[in-house]
Parts: sequence; structure tokens; C-alpha cells
Amino acid sequence: MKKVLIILTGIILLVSIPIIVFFVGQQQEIRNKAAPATTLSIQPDKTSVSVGETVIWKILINTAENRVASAKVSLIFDQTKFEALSITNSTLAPRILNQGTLGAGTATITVAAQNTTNPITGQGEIAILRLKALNGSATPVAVQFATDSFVAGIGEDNPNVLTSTQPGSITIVGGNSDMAAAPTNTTTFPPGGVPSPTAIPTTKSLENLVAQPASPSALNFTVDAEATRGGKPLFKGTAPAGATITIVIHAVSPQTQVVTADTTGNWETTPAIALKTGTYTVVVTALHPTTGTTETVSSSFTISGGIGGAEENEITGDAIPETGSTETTLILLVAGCLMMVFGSITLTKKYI
Amino acid sequence: MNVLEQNTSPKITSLISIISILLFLPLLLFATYQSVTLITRAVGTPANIIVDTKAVLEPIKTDFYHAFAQGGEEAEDMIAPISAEVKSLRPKLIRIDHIYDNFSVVKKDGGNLSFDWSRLDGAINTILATGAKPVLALSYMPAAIAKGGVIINPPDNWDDWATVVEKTIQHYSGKGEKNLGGIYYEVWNEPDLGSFGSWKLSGEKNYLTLYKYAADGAKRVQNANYFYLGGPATTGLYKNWIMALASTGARVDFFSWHSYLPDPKRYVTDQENFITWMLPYPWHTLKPTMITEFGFTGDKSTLYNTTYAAAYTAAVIRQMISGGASHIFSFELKDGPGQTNGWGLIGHQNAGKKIKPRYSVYGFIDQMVGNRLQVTGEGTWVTGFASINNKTIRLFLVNFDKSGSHVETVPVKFTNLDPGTYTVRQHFLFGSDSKTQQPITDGILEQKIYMATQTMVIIELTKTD
Repeated sequence: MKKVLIILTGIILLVSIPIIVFFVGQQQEIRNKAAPATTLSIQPDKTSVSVGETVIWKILINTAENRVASAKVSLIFDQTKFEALSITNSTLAPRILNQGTLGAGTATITVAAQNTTNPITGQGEIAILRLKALNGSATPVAVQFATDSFVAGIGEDNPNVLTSTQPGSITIVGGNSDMAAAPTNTTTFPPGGVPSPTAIPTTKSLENLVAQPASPSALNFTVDAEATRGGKPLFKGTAPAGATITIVIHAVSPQTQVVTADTTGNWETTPAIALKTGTYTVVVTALHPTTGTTETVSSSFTISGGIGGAEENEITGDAIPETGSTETTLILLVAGCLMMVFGSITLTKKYI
Repeated sequence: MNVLEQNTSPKITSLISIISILLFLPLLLFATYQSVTLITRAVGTPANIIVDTKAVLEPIKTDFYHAFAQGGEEAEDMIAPISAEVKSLRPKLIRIDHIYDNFSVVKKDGGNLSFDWSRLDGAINTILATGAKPVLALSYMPAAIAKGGVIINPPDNWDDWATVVEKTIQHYSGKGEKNLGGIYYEVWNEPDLGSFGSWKLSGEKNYLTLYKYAADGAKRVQNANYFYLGGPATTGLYKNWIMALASTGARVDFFSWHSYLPDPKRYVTDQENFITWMLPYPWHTLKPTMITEFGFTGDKSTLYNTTYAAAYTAAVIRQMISGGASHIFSFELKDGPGQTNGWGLIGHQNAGKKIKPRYSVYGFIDQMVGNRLQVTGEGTWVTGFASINNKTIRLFLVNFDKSGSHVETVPVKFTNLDPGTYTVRQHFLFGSDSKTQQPITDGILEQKIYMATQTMVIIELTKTD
């Protein structure tokens, strides 16, 4: 009987060990190849800020099952409401791979884990943004993630494990709050443009952006692309009061603008750089100031009549050339001088 | 008709007119060119610096720029004659190339390779004595194994190259030999340059083959300390080279390139580009990036003897102070013999080991150690960063103009200071060093700093009560 028990125990062990190893292996594999599930969000350190004061925004990550090597955080906001002061890394991301870059209505930084054996996991702060409030607003003003935000996960088939982003908003009190009553008009050129269409569950998918929504919408707009506007069409519409409106004109290099709807929900804007003759698609996204939900609509328009014609490379935001026109100027001068010399010689021959 | 025309013949009048025009034209051209240059130079933004003394950012690293490269103008231990001067630079890493040809390491008798490390060991010992770790550019092909005996050629047998790399790493990183930890081995030097072989990414002189066999050799190393193997050490940051190396599947512990760029801000662009390319390869984003040679020009220039080179280096360090490359190597420590326009920080010993202005930059900026403070309002020419360390606040500013003539009076404002009396020190590198006492009641200290061309200053605030 004792022998039978020993044999049975041995058999059970022999059978169970491979089974356990198999299931552990399965779980390991699941852990190593978790589906992209990382989210980014941004939160201000207060609910309202006075004009002239600084608000500190925490950029938060939740990696779920992912193991994150690095994260490119790209943010956009209304440049008439905020001035970017600084952006740096925070506790969960001990390294900065690309220094913070601040622009008009934009802030970008790439942060990272210490090394691959200590990836970023869990929930916490990866970056801190400081913005100075410039003008008052009757409704909360949003800061949101641009589409070129990227979270690089280790051991994933899809290296970008970012699935959604959550914008943040804050009310600016004091100062010239009339700014909120009148439509604001700003231009930014963030590399990624409009916030991710997968930002939050209420956002419509990209495929649905081609047509206007069938259901009644709080977001509407029209495009006045008359030739007399010189390639700068007027985008004008309505949205929930205080909504942050992001307008992306899709061209070789997309132009992105962020405006805030006034207290009656009206907004309007024009591109800062004239568009060339051609047909364009414009995608407009409204971020509700209190609920954080977004709505997106799109339309096409045509610039005709040849009045537009800005060079495509103007909207790339290239720096002003420091010595750009020297050669051309010199060539023209030399040509002019040669003409003077030849003219003088001709006159001399005529009268001598 | 004027007096001249009345008293001279028409022929002479015409002749004088033509001569006048011919004389005047070059002057006109010159003046116009100067005007255009001045106008175009003036395009830019002056600085208006605001330091928020309560907005504390990340810690500042000062090690990354304490890296230096030495060329191989002489087939000997070039650092030995200037070792004291080099030690004072407090170097962390020193890179040398020409390790095989200048130090006659490899011999081949019949089919067997033999190695004589004695001369190279001497150079490595000199580096170690300065407090730095050596970075060895595995270059060039030992004549004993190179096709035609030409050191920029591939080997006759690639396995010989793998063996050479294996023995090199084994010798310096092996626990049973020199036992050095954390050594960087860089595969070749400027492989894309004609002088160093004009290697490509395909064909007979394929850098990827060179690298693969180097990685094979590294794989065979036994019982060694951790070491880094990387490349491609190209003359610039080239996407095709970086991406090709990143996707080879061979061991790559760091990525390296050289930067000879007149505009310091291009270093930021390069770093951004590199990370953008690597984001789809997440594990690569965490690997060290090494600019193993940098300067404002790859050519020899007398400007390397001046404050131009010093201001340039400071401006590059400012650009890299946050989120920059892991190490940037100033090229080079010492001029070659007979060079009057060399890249060296220090003149050749035959010319009196003259210390050049660039030499003083590293120690000067070391004072900025601490946590970075928020600075806004940098300009086109005047840039800088601020730090706080043990309650001492410092602001570093550099005025670098690549055209060489810009001056600026910079408004500087420190905000959110605790009330009290402060000692304000204004210390120009190569210039004045003054101290004043300033009572602060409203938390703000404002100053105007005159920045002459190619100058660097640290403004230091220490609360005295």
C-alpha cells in the first residue's frame, strides 16, 4: 500500500509539474505580450488660476500591463490663454531623452525609464508642465495631448502602447475675461496636430470623421473660402460655450489652430499661412470644458482663383534664414553694375 | 557744363568717368555685401532672461561633457606629455583611435595572429592615470590582416578581424587581464569618410559586415567585466546608418556619431531625430548616445585657438544640459605636431603646451551643478540655464555668435526670491569677477548684463542672512 501511495504521488508530481510549467509559461507570455493598454492624462494642481499666475500640470501615466521604455509627451493648448514656462520629467520617468521644447501653444518632452530592466510600470507622474495664465475665461480652458504623443512599450508587437489620452482643464479667473466672450484666434504648428481620435471613449473614430454626424450636434461650422480671402478661408461655427476647438487643415504639412468658443458658443478663425490653390479637408474637434468629452466633425473646401499660393514650405515653420538673400542680392548687384559699365562704354564710344 | 568738362577734353572726361566707375564698383559691392551681412545677422531675438527661483526642475548632470577625444597625429602615447593638464580637466572618458596601427598591436606569422599590447597599454595607463576611462575606437584594420596591407581596407579573412576584436576586449575588460569595467568599444572611426575607408552599407566595404564580425568577436569574450560595443561613429548623424545598425540584430550597446556643426541648436535637433527614429525600437531609446567628436568645424581652424571655440562649446553644453546625448567628446585634447590651427585644447609640447580658451569652459560650467531652475527668455545668441545648489542660485549665460561679432545687453530678472540680503557675484570667464550686496524685499532682483561677443558669465546669488 505504501508503495502504491509513493507511486501515485510520483505520478501526480510528474503530471502536475509540466502542467504548472505550461500554465506559468502561458501567463509569462501573456505578461510579456500584453496588449497596448497605456493611458496618459493631465491634471492641474488647482481648479482655477488667476491671470498672471502659474499652474502646474501633472502628466500621469497608467501602464496597465505594459512595460514602458520611453514616452513622448506632446501637448497643445490655447496660446492666448497660456504661456508655456517649462516642462520636465518626474518621479516615474527618471530620464529625459529629449529636452522640453516650448512653443506657442505647444509643449513637448520625451522621458524614459532608467533602463530596460527597470521599465516604467504602474501609475504615476512622468512629467510636469508649468503654464502661466494670460487671459481670463468664463469656462475652463483645456490642455490636451497631440497625436504624436507616443508611449514605447517593451516586448510588444506594436511598439506604441498608448491607447487613450485624457485632457485636463482649468478656469482662468481675473484679467480680461472679455477674451472669453470674443472668439479667440490662435495658430500653432504642433507636430502631431489634433488630439488623438482615441483620446477618450466618447470621441468618434477616425473613420467617422469624413462626414458630418447624422445626429444633432452641438458642434457645427462653415468654411468661407472665397477667392477674395487670399487663400485664408474663414472657419466659423458654434460649439458648447467655452469649448476648446482644435482645427486641423490637412495639407502636405497640416496646419493646426486652437481657439476657444465664447460664452455664447461662437468661434471663428483663419489660417495664419495662406493656403495654395487646391482642395483640403478640415477636421474640427471640440473639447467640452466641463465634461471633457470631445466631438469631431469634418468638411472639405477648395481654394481657387490662384489668389492663395503660399509656398508649401511656409507652414513647416522653418527658421528665418540668417544669410538667405545674400547671394541673390549680390548677383543682382553685379548684373546691375555690369550693365552700368557696358552702358558707360557704349556712351563713351558714341561721344569720343 | 562743369569746371572739369570746361577745362578738359571730352575724351579725358570720359576716361576719368570710366576709371571712377571701375574704382567705385568694387567699393560699392563691398559696402553692399557688408550691409547685407549686417542686416541678415541682425535677424534674431535678443534675450530677456527670467529665472523663477522656486520652479525647480531636474538635476543637472555635469559628467557628460567631461569627455574628450584625441586624434592619432603621432604614432605614440600623445596624452602622456600633457597628462597633468588633462587630469585637471577631470575627464570621465577619453577616446582614442588608431589603436592598432599607431601601437603596432597585431602580427601574423603564418596563419597565426599574435598580439603585443605593451605600447597600447602604455597609452591606456596614461588615460587611466588622468582619472578617465578609455573609449577605444576599434581602428583601423591591422596591416597584418588587411587586404593589401592597407589599414582602411577590409581584412583578407573576416574571422581574423573578429579575433582581433575579441582579443582586444578580452585584454582590457577580461577579469584575468586588465580587468577594466565599463569600457566602451566603438567599431571604427568615421567609416563614411574617404580617409578612413569610405565604407558603405553594402558591397565589399560594408560597415555592417565590419560591425557584425566585431560583434561576433565580442560574443566570444569570456569572464569579462561589463563592456559596451557600439557604433557607427560616422561623420554626422545619418538616419540610414543608424537605422541599419539598429536593425542588424547584432549586439549594439550604444550609438555614436560625430557632430561638426556651426549651430549649437542643431545638437538638439539631432537628438530629437535620433529618439524619433528609435521610438519604434523601444529598447534602443534607452541606450547611451555618444557624440564621440564634436566641434564647430571638422577642418583645422585658428578659431580653435580663441574664445570663439570656448563660447561654442559652452553653447553646445547649454543645449545638451537637459535631455542631451549621454556623452559629448570635445575634439581634441592636444594639437598635432607643427599645428598652429589645430583642434587641440592644449598646444603640442613642442610649441609650449599652450592652454587655449576652450580648456577653461568645463570647470567654469561645473559650478552650475545642482537642480535646474526654470529659465525663460533665451535669445538667438544669448542662451543659458540656471541652477540651485545648497540655496545658492546660479545663472549661466553664453553669448555665442557664429558670425563672431554680436554683442548684447541682456535684461536678467530673478523672481520668487526669499526676502533678505544677497551677495550677488558676477563672474565672467576670462573677465571681471565682482561682488555686491543687494537687499531683496519684493522677491525680485533685476540686472542688465553686457555680454561682449563670445563671452560667458555666471551670476551667483547667495543669501547672507
